Amino acid sequence: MSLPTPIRPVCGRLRRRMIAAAVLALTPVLTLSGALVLHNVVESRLGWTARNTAEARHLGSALSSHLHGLLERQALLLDTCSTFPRESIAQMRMTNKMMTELRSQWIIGYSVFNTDGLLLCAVGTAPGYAPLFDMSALEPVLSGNGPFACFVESHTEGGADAVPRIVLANRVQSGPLGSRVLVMEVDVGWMARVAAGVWDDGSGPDVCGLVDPKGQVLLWDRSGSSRLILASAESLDAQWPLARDKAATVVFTHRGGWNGEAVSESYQVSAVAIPSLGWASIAATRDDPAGAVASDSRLKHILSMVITALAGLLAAVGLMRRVTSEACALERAAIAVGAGDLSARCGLYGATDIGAAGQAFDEMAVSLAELEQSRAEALRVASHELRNPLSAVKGAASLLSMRIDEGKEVRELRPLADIVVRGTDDLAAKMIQIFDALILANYWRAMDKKPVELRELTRKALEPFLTGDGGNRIVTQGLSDGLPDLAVVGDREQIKTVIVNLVSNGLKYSMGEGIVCVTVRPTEGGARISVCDRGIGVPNAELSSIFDGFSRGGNLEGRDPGGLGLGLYVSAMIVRQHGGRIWAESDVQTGTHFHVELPINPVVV
Amino acid sequence: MAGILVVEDEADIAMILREILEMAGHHVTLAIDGAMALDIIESDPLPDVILTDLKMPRMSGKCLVETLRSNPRTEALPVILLTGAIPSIDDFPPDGSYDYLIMKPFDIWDVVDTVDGIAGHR
Repeated sequence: MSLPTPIRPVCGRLRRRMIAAAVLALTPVLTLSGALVLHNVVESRLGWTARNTAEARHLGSALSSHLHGLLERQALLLDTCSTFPRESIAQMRMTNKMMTELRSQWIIGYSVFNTDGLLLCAVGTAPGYAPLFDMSALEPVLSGNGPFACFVESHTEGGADAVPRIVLANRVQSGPLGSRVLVMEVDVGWMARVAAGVWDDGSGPDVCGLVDPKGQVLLWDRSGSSRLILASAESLDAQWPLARDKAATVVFTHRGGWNGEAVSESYQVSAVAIPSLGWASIAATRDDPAGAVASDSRLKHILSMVITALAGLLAAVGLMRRVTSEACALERAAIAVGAGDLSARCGLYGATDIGAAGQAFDEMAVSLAELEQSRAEALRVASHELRNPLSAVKGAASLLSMRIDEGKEVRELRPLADIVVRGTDDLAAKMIQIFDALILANYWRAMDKKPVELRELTRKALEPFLTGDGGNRIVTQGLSDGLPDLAVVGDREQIKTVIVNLVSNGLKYSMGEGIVCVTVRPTEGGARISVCDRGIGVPNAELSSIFDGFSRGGNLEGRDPGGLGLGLYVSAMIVRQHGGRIWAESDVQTGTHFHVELPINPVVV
Repeated sequence: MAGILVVEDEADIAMILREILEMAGHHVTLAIDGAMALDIIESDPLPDVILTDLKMPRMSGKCLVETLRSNPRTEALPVILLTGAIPSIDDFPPDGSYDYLIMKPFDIWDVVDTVDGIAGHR
C-alpha cells in the first residue's frame, strides 16, 4: 500500500497571492500619489520663488519711488533751513506747513551740513531733534566722492530699543552758499505699511525686507513688526544674491530674534536689486518643506489621498493577515486531526466565512473525539466484561483437564463442568447483546406490529425478577388484574426487552439495596412505563449520555455493577423505533426515574 | 502453607482460585468484595497474601488496597491484583501500593507460582 501524498500547505500560497493582489491593487494609487506629491512640491517651491520675487520687486520699487520723491523736495528743505530760525509770522506759517509736509512724507527730521561736516541746521518733527546717525557714513558725500548716500541707521534714544530709520544724504549746489549736504531721516514705519500690503490676501512670504549697501537688513514679518538685522558684508557677499535676482537658501541670524532670543532659521530668499539706490529688496519663505506642503490646499488633498491609500494598504494587510492566519490555523488543525491528534482545534469562531468554517471544523473535531472516546470505552468495557467469563472457563477447563489426568470420578468433575457451561453461556449472552446492539444501530429491525396489552406484558417481563434474588425489592403500580386494558401497537418482544432492561438496570444500580418501583399508566394518546430506583443516581452532566452505547455510571467510585452498558442504549433505540420517547430524571441522593412513553399507534421513525 | 485471602465477586472464578490454591497447600478464605475483605482482616488473623479483583460491587480493589496501606497493621501485607481492567485507562491503585498484577484470563499455574513465590519469600 502506498502512502498518501502529503497535503501541500495552502496557507503560504494563499498569503503570497493576497500580498501580490494587494500590491497590484495599490501600486498605481501609491505611484500616482507619489508623483503628484513630488510634482506639487517642486511646483509649489517654484511658485513661491516667483511670488517672492514679485513681492521683493514691489517693495524695492516703492522704496525707490518714495526716496526719489523726497529728493525732489530737497530744494524746499534747504530754503527753509537757510532762513531758520527767524521767528516772523510768515516764517512760522512756513514752518508749520513744512512740518505737515515732513510728517506726510514720514520724515523724522532733516539736517544740513557744509562740506566740512559742520551742522548748519537741523529740523525735526519732534521738539529737540538732533541728527545722531553715523557721520562716517556721510564722508563720501561730504568729500564729493559720491553725490548720494542712503543707508539704514539704528540708534537708541533715551534708553529705548534701537529704532531703525533710513538715512538719505544728498550733496546739492544751492545759490551763494555753495555745496551743502542735506540729510533726511525717514521713519521705516512707512515701509512697514508697504510691506503689510504684501500679506493683504493672508498668504505670501514669511518675511520681507530691505538690504542697504552696508549690508544691514530691515525685515518685516507677518505681524508687521520691523526688525533690523545687522550682518557682516562678507557673509552678505557670500549669501545674499543681490545681483543675481534669484532665490537662494540663506540662514538668518536674528539680532535679538523675533521674540528677543537669538535664533537661527533657514529661509528661501528671493532678492531684487535696486540699482539707483544700491539697495536690494527681499521676500523670503521659511525653508520648511513639510510645513510648506501642508500649507498648500492641493497638497493637502493629495496628502489626504496618500494617507487614505496607506490606510487602505494597512487595512488590506490586516485583513490579509487575519484571513491567512485563520486559513493557516484551520489547515494546521485539519492536518493534526488527520494525523490522529483528535485534541487539535483551530480555535476560530463564526465572525468570518473562514471563522464559520473553522467553528464547524472544531465542532466536528469535538464530535470525532467523543466518538473515538466512546469507541475506546466500548472496547474497554467489552474487554473487561468478556475477560471474567473467559477467566472462569479457562480456569475450569485447566482444572478439568488436570482432574481427568488424575483419574477423578465423573461426578467430582461436575462443578467444574458447570462453570464451563455458565461461563460459555455468559460469553454467548454478552456476544448476542453486542451483536443485537450493532444490528439495531446499523439496521432498523423489522417490527412485528401487533396490539400489545402493556399491563399484561409488564407482569410477564417482571416474572423472572419476582422469582429471583431481588424479587422482594420490586414494587408495582398500575398492574392489578382489575384495571382496564392499556394497549399500544408495537413489537411485543422488543417492548418486553425495554422493560427487562430498565428493571435490570434499576436493580443493578441500587447496589443490592433499596426497592425498584415499576408503574404503568395511560397517557394522552398512549401509555407510560416508569421504573424508579433508589440507587446511586446519575450526575446531571451524564443524563444526556446514559443512552449511549457502553455507557457506565461516572459516580461508581470503584464499585462495579457489571454488564456491558448496552441495556439503555438498546432500549432507547427500540423506543424510538416505536415512535415513543425515553428519558431519565435523577438525583444522586434519591435515585433515578426512567420513563418510557409509547403512542397507541406508533409512527415509525 | 500460607493463608490466602481471595477477594473476588465472580463466584465461579473465586471457586477456581480456592481449588487451585488449596491444591497447592494453602489455606484460602473468600470475600466477595473489599468491604467483606476488611471485615475478615479485622476479625481474623492476618493472611499471608491477598489476591484481589479490582472492580467489585460495594468496595473496589483499589479502595481496599488504599485502606490496607493506610493502616499500620496491614500496610505491609502482600497484595496481588487479579483483574480484567486495563492499566493506565481504568482506575488502578498507585504504582508501588501492590506487589503483583495478574491479568484475566489467567493461567492457573501462574497464579499458584506467584502466590507461592510471594508467600515463600515471606
